[in-house]
Amino acid sequence: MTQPVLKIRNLSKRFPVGGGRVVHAVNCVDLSIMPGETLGMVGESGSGKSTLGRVILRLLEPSEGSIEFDGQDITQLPKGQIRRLRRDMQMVFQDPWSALNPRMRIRDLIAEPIKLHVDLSRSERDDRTEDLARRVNLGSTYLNRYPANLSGGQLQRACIARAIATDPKLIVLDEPTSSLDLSVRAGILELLAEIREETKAAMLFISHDLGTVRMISDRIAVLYLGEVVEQGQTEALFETPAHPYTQALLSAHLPADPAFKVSRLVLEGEVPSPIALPTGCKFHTRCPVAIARCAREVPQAIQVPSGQQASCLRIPNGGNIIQRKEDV
Amino acid sequence: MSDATQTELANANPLPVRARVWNRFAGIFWLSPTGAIGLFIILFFALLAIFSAWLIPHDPIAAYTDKVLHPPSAEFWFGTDGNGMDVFSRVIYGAKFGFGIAIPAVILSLVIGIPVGLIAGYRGGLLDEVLMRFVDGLRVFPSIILALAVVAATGQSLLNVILVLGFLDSPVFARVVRAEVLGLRSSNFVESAVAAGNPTWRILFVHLLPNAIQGAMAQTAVRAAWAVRISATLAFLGVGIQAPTPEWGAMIRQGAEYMVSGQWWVALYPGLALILLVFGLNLFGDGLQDLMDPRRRSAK
Repeated sequence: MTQPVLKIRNLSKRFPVGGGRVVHAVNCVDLSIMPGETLGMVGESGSGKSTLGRVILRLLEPSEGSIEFDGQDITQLPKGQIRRLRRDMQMVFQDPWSALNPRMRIRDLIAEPIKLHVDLSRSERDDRTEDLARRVNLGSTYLNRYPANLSGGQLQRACIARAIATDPKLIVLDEPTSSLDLSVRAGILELLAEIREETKAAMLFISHDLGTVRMISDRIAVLYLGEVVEQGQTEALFETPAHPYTQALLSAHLPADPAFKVSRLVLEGEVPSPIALPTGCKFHTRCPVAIARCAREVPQAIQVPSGQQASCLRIPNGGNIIQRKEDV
Repeated sequence: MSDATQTELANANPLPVRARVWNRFAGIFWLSPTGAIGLFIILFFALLAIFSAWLIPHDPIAAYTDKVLHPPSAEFWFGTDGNGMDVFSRVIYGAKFGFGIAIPAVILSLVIGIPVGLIAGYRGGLLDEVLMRFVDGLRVFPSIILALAVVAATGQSLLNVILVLGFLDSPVFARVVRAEVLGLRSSNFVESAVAAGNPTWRILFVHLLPNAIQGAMAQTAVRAAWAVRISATLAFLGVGIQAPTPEWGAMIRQGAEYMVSGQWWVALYPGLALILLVFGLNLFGDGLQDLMDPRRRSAK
């Protein structure tokens, strides 16, 4: 059996915010990603998905739990060794306009990871840079430009070229398309799909856009208040969402077919503050099918018939399915 | 984006370097006419310093013992001093000391101040506290008294004056750079550089430095004016450079003795030269800050 490229256990990240209060950004998350697999991570803003992505890459220090990368526990690894590991784990950021050093040429930005991690001569590195630019469909005329002279889509292509420059085993993509125009977005997604086929790199695709995640992911994890409430194969999760929160989230997503009859589940209230987390199941304050037990007991992840894992106390008796009103 | 617009953009070459440099230079005139005047004054003195060997009619330290304290005349345009040396030649030659002290002192300040500012701003925490308290400590003392004490203690030489001025003024640059880095360290491109696997020294010097140096560069001319002023003051007080070296401060000191007895020219001309150069550096420095600081630029 092949070993997962990333395996996190019980991972938590807390930020002290003064006055003795603590933001619980990520709470006890278990996840694993197999080589070549793409895991989509969805959740509302504030659900801790970006924080989780950064903790996984040790850009932020975990408060608790363990991170295993490529069979090696990297939770406590000193900074210097983490730096060498970055050859195998790269990241693409949400906002390509600010993710590139404005004082460096695109050529040097793409070549930087190679320079840092791979022992190549100058001319070999130049060749590799040109290849990478070609691979992400970035004209070689742009290589001598500065980031300010490129469009958002071009910048994100440069960021992707940078991320794949060292053939990493894992790429964390933090909302790589959400700040781009719709027309540009499709091209970037297509490129990412191609790159995944070619490089067999595992990807953690963070997004709040369900349509995007569905297109690119093999598996999906749904985050609510820093907790994975449901994870499983993309199709199973989209067809038969088990957790009430997933059901609500999916109903908010418009299908492409205008003839499709939409019945929305609109959640009451706001996302609770991550400073004062609800007791028991964290979703019980907004859950339409919550019972008294939900406020007391923390649900464990259980496997549902369609294959995915969900954390809901009402799954065993079927009470987890929200009854939809037919009118819209 | 369509292919047509892509090629169009690709063909729209950015301005060649020479044109860009010229545009920036011309920009000084439009944005800050006073800065341009300052630049002319600096260039004037720079030419004096560079070509002094051809410009001076007399050896600046040759004493005409039979022509002591002659008033300005056709032979000695600015008169002669108490040793019978030509004041005109000495004033011109003195420009060498102005630049010869100010430029290395400012470079030394940059070399010390920039890394301190970068590290303090990027690392933050205790290291930042310690470095900045030390920097503040240096700023508490009136710089002239501190410079006096240190030069007097370390020995009187031109090199010591440069080292002391450079060291004492480094906090200015440390502060400016630190402030910039504080704003930049949490920015996306720095995080992206960390994620790519950059070691700390590369984050500091390759990624942060080029983005944080503008404020410090804008300060250089004003700090050069400070160095010229303080080095002349030290010489005037008899510390550092000694007479009969043709340094303006030392010349003013010597001339001061003759003011009461009516030989005004010995002190007046080096005094005017000093005032003019400091004035020019400050004017240019102000213009430079206007030009490099976008907030000040938009206020105009």
